[in-house]
Amino acid sequence: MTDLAQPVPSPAIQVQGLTKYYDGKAVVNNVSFQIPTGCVFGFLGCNGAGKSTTTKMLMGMVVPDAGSAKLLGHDVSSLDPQVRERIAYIAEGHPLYSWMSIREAIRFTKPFYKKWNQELLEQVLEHFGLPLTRKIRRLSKGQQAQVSLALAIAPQPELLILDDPTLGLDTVVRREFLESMIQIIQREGRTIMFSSHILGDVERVADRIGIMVDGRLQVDCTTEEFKQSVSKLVLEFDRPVNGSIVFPECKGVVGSRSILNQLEVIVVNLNDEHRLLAERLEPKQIETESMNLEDSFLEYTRTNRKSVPVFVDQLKSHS
Amino acid sequence: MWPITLAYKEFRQLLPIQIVGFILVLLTVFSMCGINILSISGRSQATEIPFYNDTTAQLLPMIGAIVAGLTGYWQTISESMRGTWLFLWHRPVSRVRITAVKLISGLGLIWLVMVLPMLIYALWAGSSGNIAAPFLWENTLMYWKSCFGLSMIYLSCYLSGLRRARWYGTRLLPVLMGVSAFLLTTTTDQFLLLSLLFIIVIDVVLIAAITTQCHLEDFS
Repeated sequence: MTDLAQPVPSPAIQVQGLTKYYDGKAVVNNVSFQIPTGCVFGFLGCNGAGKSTTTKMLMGMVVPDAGSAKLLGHDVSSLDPQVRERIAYIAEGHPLYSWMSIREAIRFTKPFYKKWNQELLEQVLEHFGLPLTRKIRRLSKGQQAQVSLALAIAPQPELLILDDPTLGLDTVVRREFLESMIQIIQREGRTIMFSSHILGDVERVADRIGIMVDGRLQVDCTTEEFKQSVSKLVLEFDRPVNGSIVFPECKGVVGSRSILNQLEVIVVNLNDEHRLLAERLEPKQIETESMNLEDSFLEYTRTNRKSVPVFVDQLKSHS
Repeated sequence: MWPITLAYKEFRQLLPIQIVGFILVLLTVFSMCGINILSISGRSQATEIPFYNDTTAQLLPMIGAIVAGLTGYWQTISESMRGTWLFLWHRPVSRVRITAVKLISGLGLIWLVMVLPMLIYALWAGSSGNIAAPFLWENTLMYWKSCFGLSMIYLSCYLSGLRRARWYGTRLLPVLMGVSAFLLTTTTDQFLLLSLLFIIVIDVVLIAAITTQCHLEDFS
């Protein structure tokens, strides 16, 4: 009998134990993850969490102190120009030569590529309403982001890595940019990894999320799984709490705070042990509240306690 | 052809430095031709022996050194300031090739600024009736050697701009080396071949350091 099963495609991005020290401090600490082909991966974290350094190490812009990474199956430390042509990278702040006009920026970038879809580029520029003669320095931040995106997708890359592409954009422009980005980029099943510190952006477009906290990747799962894994237990007492009642230390508890006669406890992977501990405090009422991604992220990252990792088998959960 | 567009980009970015350098060299050449536009010295230098005087031995190499240093620094620091290394290095071409085009463009422009006006001057001085002193092409060798020597200053400043070490530490070391080697090779009219060989060795060392640094530097 012949096995007709399709071969499993190799992950678009494979990261193993990536580490970087600056001034003796680990800004990226033993980070490992995989991004399956065709996935939109939102890479989250507060400012200074290590997202940008991780992204730069992936692109070969920063040399890691330990660990390795592969893009499209090729080691990033020796990425061939041919492989680089299949990967688009938009760096933080959309660095472009400000003295160039959009037309000059295209003329400068185009000759580097064997494959260049001028029609697509023109469509994108037209979609965003960008005049070719306008100097880059005269464009708003949002328009510069749009030019960067247009230049990035013209060579028709298989993998796009975007480092905080919406940084500095106002809410309306940000939303419009992200929606256009996904519509333009992902229509041919491309893999996208984009970092952000704005949860709302990621929630709308990402299949999977990774959350960096203090240089460590603490979450790597689908968006839904993360939302489900972080819960809020609300314990209501018949008297003001004011710090007199403390939820016991327990695996999975990432934070707690008291508000009037309520004690709110943020828990990762809520289980019977957490419920039992809650009941022992003899509250009047216990409620479990679901949280949206933004609340989950904020609660998860702002706590003083050590964040509890949330990992789910990547390839299995993606399929 | 990406090398042409990259070279054009370098040309555009370096234009202000080259224009100022070119004007300074041109004014000096005019002065040597007896046209003292700015009347800086108050006397005409047209009576000096062509290419065998303080102007070509000291003033022009000094202008050249400043132009070369600024060119090397601007080619690297402007990329760092705007964060455009990240854009440039991601192009599907090796960093060595990109660096090679940048260096050739920079050196080419320095040579254009330093050599073109002086060639015109040499032709003028060599024409009969223009100058009382004798004109010998051998006298120009010292000046061309200075022009060759500028590559050491240019490359050392390029390396210094590329490295993000502390300014008072190892960052300025290549510049000190480049300037010392420049002074050593250009202040004597003896040992011409040996000087050229020395310049080539220093240039090779600096180019090797630059290409290594391109791969080791954190472009963040």
